Amino acid sequence: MTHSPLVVAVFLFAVAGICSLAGIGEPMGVGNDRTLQLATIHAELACCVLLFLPLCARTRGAALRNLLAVTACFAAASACVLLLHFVARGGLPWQSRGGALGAWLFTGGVISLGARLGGAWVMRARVALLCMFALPPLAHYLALEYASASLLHLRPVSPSWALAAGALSWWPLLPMALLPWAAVLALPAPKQAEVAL
Amino acid sequence: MQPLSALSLLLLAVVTAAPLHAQAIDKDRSRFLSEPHGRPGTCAPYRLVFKATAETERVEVIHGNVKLVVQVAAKAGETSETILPVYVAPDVVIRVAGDEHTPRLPLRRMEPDYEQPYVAVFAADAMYARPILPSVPGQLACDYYENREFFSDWRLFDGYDGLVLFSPEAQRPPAGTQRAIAEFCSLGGAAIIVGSFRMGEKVEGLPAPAEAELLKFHGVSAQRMAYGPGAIYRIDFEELRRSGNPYAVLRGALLDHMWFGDTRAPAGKPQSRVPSPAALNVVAGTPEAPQPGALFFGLAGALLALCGVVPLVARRVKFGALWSMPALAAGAAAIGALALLQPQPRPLLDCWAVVYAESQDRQRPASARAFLLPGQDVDETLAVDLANAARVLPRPWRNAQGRAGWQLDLPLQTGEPAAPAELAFGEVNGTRFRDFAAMAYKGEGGFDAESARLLEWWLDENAYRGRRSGLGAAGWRLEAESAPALESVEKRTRGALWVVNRRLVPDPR
Repeated sequence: MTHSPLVVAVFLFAVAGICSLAGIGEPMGVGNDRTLQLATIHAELACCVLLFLPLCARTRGAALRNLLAVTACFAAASACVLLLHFVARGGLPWQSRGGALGAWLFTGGVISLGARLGGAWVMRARVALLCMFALPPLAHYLALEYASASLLHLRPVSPSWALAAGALSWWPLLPMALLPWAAVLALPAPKQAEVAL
Repeated sequence: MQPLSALSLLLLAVVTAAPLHAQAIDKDRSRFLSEPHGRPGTCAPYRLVFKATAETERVEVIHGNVKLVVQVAAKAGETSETILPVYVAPDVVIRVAGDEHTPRLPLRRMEPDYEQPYVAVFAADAMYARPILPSVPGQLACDYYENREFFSDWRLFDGYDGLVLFSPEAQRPPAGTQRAIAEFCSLGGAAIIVGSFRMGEKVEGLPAPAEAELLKFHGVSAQRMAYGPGAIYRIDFEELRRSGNPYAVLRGALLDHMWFGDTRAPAGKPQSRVPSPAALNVVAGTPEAPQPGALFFGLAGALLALCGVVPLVARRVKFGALWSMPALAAGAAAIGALALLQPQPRPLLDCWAVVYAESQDRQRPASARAFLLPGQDVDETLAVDLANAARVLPRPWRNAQGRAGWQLDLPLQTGEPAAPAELAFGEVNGTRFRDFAAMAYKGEGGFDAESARLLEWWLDENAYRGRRSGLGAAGWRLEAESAPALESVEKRTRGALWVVNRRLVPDPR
């Protein structure tokens, strides 16, 4: 957990560096412009779910330390994204911070809730978060394809989709982010016998 | 008094006062001074009469995506008037003191015509000048002004092919005359001075006219001094008066300039400042990829070091587990804040220019017609302050793909000409002009691909019978002073064409 911010920073620098290579970024539509900033922010949202390692201890103290770690990971990721400020005009790296903070806090809270419940729940939390990020756009596409119906109202649920549509904002992520942390802190401490087991 | 009644009175006062305030422009007295003549696509002098609401009023002339702006000194509450260049176009709007007005266009549209020069005539008494130099349909179109009205800004002469100034008594002209004539001639116009002026004002930085050559028009001697692509003709007033046919003499001088010294008119349309109907096939380029600077690498290294070192130190220090993450977060936040100090790429403006010159000598006056295509984040409207010393004139323009940009006329320019290729009789260096244009794309004649686009477009417009020119690729750039509104924009000159119109050897008439 203590090295999560380093892992996040290295991962984001690697993504930005690889995408800026002409032969690799160009086929994906990523150039040395605003698209590079967007690609890095998408990678940051993936980091939220995949790279944050919580402290797996079933105490409130551990939950608080996880909150501090999430904050540090967000700060490191933000520094990586803001370092790409020179690539393009406009304030996309700065404007995305509110939504990114909401995404980090929410995903960190859910994973910490899983850590508070027990080791296996961490992986289950990650899977649930991946589904939350990826399934709404997939469902929208399938609904359009087979039922000619739109599920655009699900867009705020998926931060990645909201970012792609230019609608990533701190609302409703920040209010949602408070719920898992409230649950983490509200869970009673396990009884001594359970801890021993 | 009831509060509601007071409110009603207040509303009534606002409602009744608003139309009075809105009708600041006197639409009956405001008019084009050149009426009934006007050349569409160019500017003509316009007298604007308005009621001022402050000590200075900002006047805006808006035409498509260009705007001319000037601050006019006035007296609040009193009627003021000013003369400013206004485009002769149907979509023009003039704004001042909260009012706006679409000027009534002149009825007679003066299209560029080799057989009918369009001139502004200045004399001590305009009534005196009319019989000497009358407007004759199909031969000469004249607008008459008094010498004291002489404009100090070439943009008020934009539509004219030439100026005729009668000054038999060596008068002192109004301030700004010298510069206005120099700028007008550098843009290709002809100034005919009958008599002389006592040029008392010292104007810095104006190139002197070329050596005078002696010509004769209907038995009357005239001195012709080239000035950029234009010329200054000087005719003795008494000699003109004794000639018995001053009209033929003066028209002969104008045609001598427009026909490049030939005895018959060239084919096609004359070169003028009217925007060309043929679209220029240029496209905006992509900006260069921004490169990370030393600040980026420094901050990135600092971030990685911070993320790696802080946890290691925290393990060996008391309560390290508590403070390490907040410290790391604070350090990363500081690095992120410093990252915002990195310079961002500036918006990009692509320029192409045709530079009209007198000769290959870069010290001689020249002018440029620049075509500007803005990139992203550049303001859609180009505003030019008429008080700016550069005296540029923008016009709305679109490239062949319909992308909106600006066409800018810049007087008194300099450039770096390359060795010219010679156009004569429809051939350039002995090759049919279309074939030469195709070869220019491959580097023939020292042209590159972008200059070759300009060359191809210019040849299509001008490679007619009677036209002889030296053509070359030019080094030229748009100076920041020429367009202060574009100061924060990166200007990239993609291509420039140098054009020197050749005259026939003068023939005694």
